[in-house]
Amino acid sequence: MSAATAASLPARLGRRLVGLARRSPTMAIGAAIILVFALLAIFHGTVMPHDPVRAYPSEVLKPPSARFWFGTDGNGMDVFSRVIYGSLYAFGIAVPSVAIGLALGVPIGLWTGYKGGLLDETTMRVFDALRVFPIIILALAIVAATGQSLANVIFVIGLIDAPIFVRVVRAEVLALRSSNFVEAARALGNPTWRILFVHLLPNALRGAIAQTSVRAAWAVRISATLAFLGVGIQQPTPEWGAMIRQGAEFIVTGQWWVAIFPGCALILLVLGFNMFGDGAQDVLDPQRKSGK
Amino acid sequence: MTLLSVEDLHTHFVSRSLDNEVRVARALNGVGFSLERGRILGLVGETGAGKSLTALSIMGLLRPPARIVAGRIAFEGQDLVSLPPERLNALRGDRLALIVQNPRASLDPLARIGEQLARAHRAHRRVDAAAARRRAVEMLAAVGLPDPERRARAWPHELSGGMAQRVLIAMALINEPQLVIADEPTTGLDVTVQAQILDLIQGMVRARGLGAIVITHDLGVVAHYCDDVAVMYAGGIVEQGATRDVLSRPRHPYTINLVDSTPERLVIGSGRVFGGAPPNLFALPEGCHYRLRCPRADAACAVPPPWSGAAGGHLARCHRPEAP
Amino acid sequence: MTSPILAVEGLSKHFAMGRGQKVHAVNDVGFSIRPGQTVGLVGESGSGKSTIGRTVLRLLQPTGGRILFDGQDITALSEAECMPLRPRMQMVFQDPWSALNPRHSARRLIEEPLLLHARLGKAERRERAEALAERVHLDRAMLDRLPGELSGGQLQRVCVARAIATDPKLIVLDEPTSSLDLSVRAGILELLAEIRATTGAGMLFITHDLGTLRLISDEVVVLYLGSVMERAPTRRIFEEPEHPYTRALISAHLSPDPSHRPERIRLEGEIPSPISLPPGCPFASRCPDARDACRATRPPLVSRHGGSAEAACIRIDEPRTGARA
Repeated sequence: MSAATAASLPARLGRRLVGLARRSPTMAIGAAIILVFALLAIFHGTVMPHDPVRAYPSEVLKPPSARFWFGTDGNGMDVFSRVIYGSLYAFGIAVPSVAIGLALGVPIGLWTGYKGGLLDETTMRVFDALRVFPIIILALAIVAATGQSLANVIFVIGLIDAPIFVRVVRAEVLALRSSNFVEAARALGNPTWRILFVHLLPNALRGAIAQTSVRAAWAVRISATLAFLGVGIQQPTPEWGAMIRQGAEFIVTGQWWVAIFPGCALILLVLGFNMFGDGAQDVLDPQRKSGK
Repeated sequence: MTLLSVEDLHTHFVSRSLDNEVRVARALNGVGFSLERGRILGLVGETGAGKSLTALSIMGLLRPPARIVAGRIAFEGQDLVSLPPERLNALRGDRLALIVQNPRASLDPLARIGEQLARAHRAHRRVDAAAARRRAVEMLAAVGLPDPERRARAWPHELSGGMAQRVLIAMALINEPQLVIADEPTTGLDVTVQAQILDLIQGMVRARGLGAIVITHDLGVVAHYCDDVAVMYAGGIVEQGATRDVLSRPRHPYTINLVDSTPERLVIGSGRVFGGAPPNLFALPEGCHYRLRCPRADAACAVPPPWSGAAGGHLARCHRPEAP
Repeated sequence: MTSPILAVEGLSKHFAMGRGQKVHAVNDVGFSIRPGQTVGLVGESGSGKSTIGRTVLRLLQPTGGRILFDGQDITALSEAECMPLRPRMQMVFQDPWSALNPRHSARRLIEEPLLLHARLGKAERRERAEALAERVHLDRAMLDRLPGELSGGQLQRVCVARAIATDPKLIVLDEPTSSLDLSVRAGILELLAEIRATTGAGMLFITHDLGTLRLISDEVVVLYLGSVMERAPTRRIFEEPEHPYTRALISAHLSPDPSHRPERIRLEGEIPSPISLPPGCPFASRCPDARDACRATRPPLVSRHGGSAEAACIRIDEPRTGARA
């Protein structure tokens, strides 16, 4: 009996995955892309043929070859290894910054959504005011003011993400606030904190989770943009944005590989996150919406 | 000629589960009944019995993954199942009409009432806009809306539940159909309004010689407005006949249960168990589908039960029905 | 006579609509419930019955009047002050699917009131929850399921179990069987009758279904547009209704017995808006017996039959003939 179930578990899992993939090919492709990059990031040590920050002074700006698959950049460093290492940075920035966004945004969204009134109005107007600023400028300003370090970049992105999570969670809470089961919870004698965290949060989180992937995409893109603009992470750190910055100078002179390869990696991962988030939303929502 | 004759109708839902397996829900299993002009047939049953689905199957309004897999629906002699979609579309709204549930949600919120009625009329008749509008006002008056000229210019959200239901009835009848199906026409309406709506439908049937099917879960509606009744369970009809017979002397255990569980008949403390788990349409039991809940079930019920009773009269599909 | 567990006097509830407009949902309503008594609150849409149910439990704040629960005036208490009252006054909602958190198991849902109000250890709580499940005739195997995996009847049993967990003295039931299938309703009604007999709690049963009302209530309060039209013991309401609205309502009820065909009193006319209530009797615009005096001033609620009943109609004692001007 147990042998049979042990054998059938991977089979069932396999079928479940195929079922999910059929339901949303978008999500499946997105997941595959993210997985590939994640694996590259985790196993970078094994996969990288060269040390990403080792300079080969004699091999500066060499085109793709058998030795340097993506060619070398202006410092003679292997672009391929740097692109792989860059995925570590991408995740290393995306994950903590989204986490910060969630940590800040979700409680605020819960609270203002539930309480409503003046507090809610004020908070939302503040956020509305922030939206007036072009995000890039805002990010630039904050990082420039606080100093160019990885931690600052992560924190800034997280801070900018927070209002979006607030909005999403608040929307769910607003919808649920006057619903029957919140009323029933009140009738039963639940104190407010319990209504927020035990009853509303799990349901409100659903919308936030779907956003997470999309925000991760944005985090990767923004950090690359900041680096490209010369703020935040700088050379010789193998971060895609920084690499594109350096490579941009060389495109004109014909050494396209320095910028294009990290550029493609950036596009692909951002696409992967977006597709996954989109597809996940499709899969999650119609299922949850079923019921009487 | 019989206005409508449904024979051995089978409708299934075919879908894939998350585990990528094909699953078939047998939602209608051999439904058969007939309807003559000037008569009202009530279709009762619990949620999931297949009442609305029967209406949708007749009207040809099924959407994937639901499909008719077998059976015949003879309307005025023509089989609707094998009719090409354009021909069926031409009949719908013209000779066959459906009054849907939830009237306020079923009207286009962005068009005035008169406009929507005129649209329904012009879809099937070659008339100009002015004539269509006149007809719309005529229908609004016919369904008893006071001040119909003014009402025709109203927006759906300005209507009460009862008024909206009347508008839907007007829309269904505007092209003088021969068959009208009303799906839960009074659910959600106040008791005092309910009677007015039902009187209206009954009046139209008698005056114009239509045939009507009223889908409801309210036995009171059936008792007072339906000439005949068909009781459905798990996608099949378990008992049918003249209302007076079926409700006063039910023969099938499910109908007996249903009638006895109404508040008017319920005896508190009798210890009887009514109702039970809803049938699993993905895995119906062999033989009689009511077997798992039936207090009289025995080994014989593993075989599909026969129809008991005189043809055209009070029929019950059971191995051991109550004597007539 | 035992003192009532709930006494409502002159209760009013208005909802602000913005632009100075108000929905007068409940206007000057009074009734009381004794321990072990079931009072049925009946009315059509807009009658204010659901609002009364919620206001009585202080889920809403009354605009006027008094609510006395077990002798205590709870009209003006704050949300925090109402908290200790909750275990003693509970509610069963109309739609069990939306009243229960879809992510909690039935067990967890039934344990919730115990968790909130009873000082019990984890094991004891579990035991009590199982005992409650048994009391509402819910199969123990169902306890670990989620609401999505339970039927309507089972879910409503979970709701009843939650409501009686803390041994409340007052239970408000807002259309507890309306969302359920016919065959399932009987089981829930039986359960409620059982609960009433064993707990001695007072029940406020809100419904629009006259059949259910007759079966379960001891006394009936008939509402129309937020005001009490008639209040009487159940038998009198059904056999000898006195207020014109009550009579129209009773006559409109369709019983499943095809041979029972009462003379229907047809109501014509428009229902006035609850935002701008007419000065006189709220029912005057549709009442077949209405007269000018009815439209001018609101008829008072007059005690009748030795105090066992009340009705708000000035023409109530006039002899009934076929045609009344």
